[in-house]
Amino acid sequence: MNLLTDIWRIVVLGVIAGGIYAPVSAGLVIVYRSSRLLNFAQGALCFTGGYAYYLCADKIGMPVGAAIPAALVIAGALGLLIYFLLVSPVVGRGPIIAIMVTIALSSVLEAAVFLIFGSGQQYVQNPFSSHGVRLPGNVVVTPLDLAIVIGSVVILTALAAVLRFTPFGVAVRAVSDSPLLAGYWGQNSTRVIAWTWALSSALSAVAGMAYAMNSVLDSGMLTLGTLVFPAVILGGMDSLGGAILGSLLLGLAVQSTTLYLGAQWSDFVIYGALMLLLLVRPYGFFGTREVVRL
Amino acid sequence: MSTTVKTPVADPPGSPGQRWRLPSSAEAAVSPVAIVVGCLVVLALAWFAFTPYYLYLTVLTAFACIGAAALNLQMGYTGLVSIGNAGFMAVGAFTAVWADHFGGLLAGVLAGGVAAGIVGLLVGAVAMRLRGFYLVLSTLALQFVVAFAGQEIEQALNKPAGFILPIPSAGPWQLGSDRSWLMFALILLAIELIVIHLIMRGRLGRAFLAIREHENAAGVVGVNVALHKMLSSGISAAMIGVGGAGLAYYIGNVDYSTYTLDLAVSYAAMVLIGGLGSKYGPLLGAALVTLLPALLSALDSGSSAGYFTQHASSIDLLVYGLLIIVIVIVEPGGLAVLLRRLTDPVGRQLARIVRGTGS
Repeated sequence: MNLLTDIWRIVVLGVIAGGIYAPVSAGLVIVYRSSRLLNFAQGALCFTGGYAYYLCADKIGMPVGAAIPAALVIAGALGLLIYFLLVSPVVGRGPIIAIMVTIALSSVLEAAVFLIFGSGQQYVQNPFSSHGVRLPGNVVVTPLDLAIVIGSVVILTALAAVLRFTPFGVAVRAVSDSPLLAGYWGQNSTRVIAWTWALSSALSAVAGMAYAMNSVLDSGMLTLGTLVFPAVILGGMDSLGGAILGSLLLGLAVQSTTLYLGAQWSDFVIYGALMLLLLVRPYGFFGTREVVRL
Repeated sequence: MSTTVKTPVADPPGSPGQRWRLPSSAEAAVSPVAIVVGCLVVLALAWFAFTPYYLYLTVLTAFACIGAAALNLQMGYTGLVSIGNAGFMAVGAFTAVWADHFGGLLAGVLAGGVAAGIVGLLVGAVAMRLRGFYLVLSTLALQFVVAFAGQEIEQALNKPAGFILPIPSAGPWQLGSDRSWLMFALILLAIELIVIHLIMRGRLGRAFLAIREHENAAGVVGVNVALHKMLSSGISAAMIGVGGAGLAYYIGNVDYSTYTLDLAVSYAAMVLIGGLGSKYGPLLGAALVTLLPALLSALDSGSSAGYFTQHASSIDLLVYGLLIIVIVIVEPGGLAVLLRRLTDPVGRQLARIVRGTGS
């Protein structure tokens, strides 16, 4: 193996991994922008999204084309529920409260899923053939991998377009800037923020489904939420483009450490990088600095 | 005597802007008399009334109290959010394994505290410029870095199941029975609470409270914010390290897989459930979170259905999560405030009776 094939391999696998991380990061960023809250339950939302798909596709037996939208709708409804029941009572009460509420939410979701579906691993219906194509350099890419990358690109482009060009997107950006001012201009801030939660939950469900089809539905998915924190910090917590770029870099970092040092090193490398990043450039490369006034 | 925090006091004529009234530091920390009396009561109960199982739970609770009270210094009094407890406990425990060769239990516990304190200062140095969510992320990173280091150490020294700590002796005592362990843990806890009391009564404590109330304002009135954030993190970490080392001796085994993110989160939950920055709250929270699984299984033993026993861990998790959510939404002051609300009417009645008979 020479360096060139190594790099090729890392890029291919890193982009595929990034395709799973990117929707999760995007979900974190949208919610951070609208609610000023870092959601520690994002991994649990991926997890429940994956189980929503399992419920529709495998338990009820819907065809995949119907099961995926149904799972997204369930996830979106869950996001709305979470916003109204949990988040809106604690918004603006400081980071400690916000963090602990979302961590507790994560526990509740995990426990609820295990109580309903049992705590074992579940295999979900995978509509794509598992027969891969061998690319030069001994890298095998399956149709599912391709679907993950393409799906991720399409969804995130659509998201960016919606935020940029539609009235809803303008409302989201206005509320993110200042809920008060947006309210004066006739926006219903609560409704807009609630929709960002639905959107964020659905985005996580996309990642959850991809993860479940790719390997298996289990509690390992819960760490997906904390795993993308470094990516989100790298990009800057309130920058969508930054988060997507960060996710790609995260995928590349995970794959290169796995290749060169072994998989057990990846946590160390990623979170060590997070520590350095916080030391040197806490607001990331595209984020806005927090300004605190006396 | 009011315990309000953050009350804007009316301006004296001629002075611009608002003044913030700091809570009196003496109100914040548990007084030494209360500490000693409390420890003696627990000891007496343990000696005469508890079954071995209750005794075991009490020892665990005492160690949890050490960690929670230390975290309260950082989170409750200085306002620095942290989910780094498990990391600091791991540093303390692994250092104790090494230091045990030099002087047994006391050396191990002290060295554990010193090592964790140094790591705490370092984390504090990273966190100097950070606040809120960014601060939490730095302690989250610590958690993963420490877990990895522990794993690598175990691998390098060829101890895949972790290290065994010998049954220790402190001077003439052999710490074999749970009673002696409870005594040891309570002595550590009492020393810790007295140190916290002294800190909060002095200049250091006032600086911490000032930082909690408003970082920039604290800087303006002459508090060295960066230094005090580091100190708060370091002192708190040292205490957590002592507790972690002690607990490791009690369990007798040190393995990196014990020190999970969930453990770290449970300490933050103790402080929050008990009451952030309250005197007794973290101790109450530590007791509740530690005893929750035992309480639930005790409730369950009445029912014959196997459902609960089968899903015990999920149900624990569910109740624990719901508990945090309900407390945070219903009573942000935590158990401390809930309890005061319950006991205040009783106290007022008592006061009235006493006054009535006195006059």
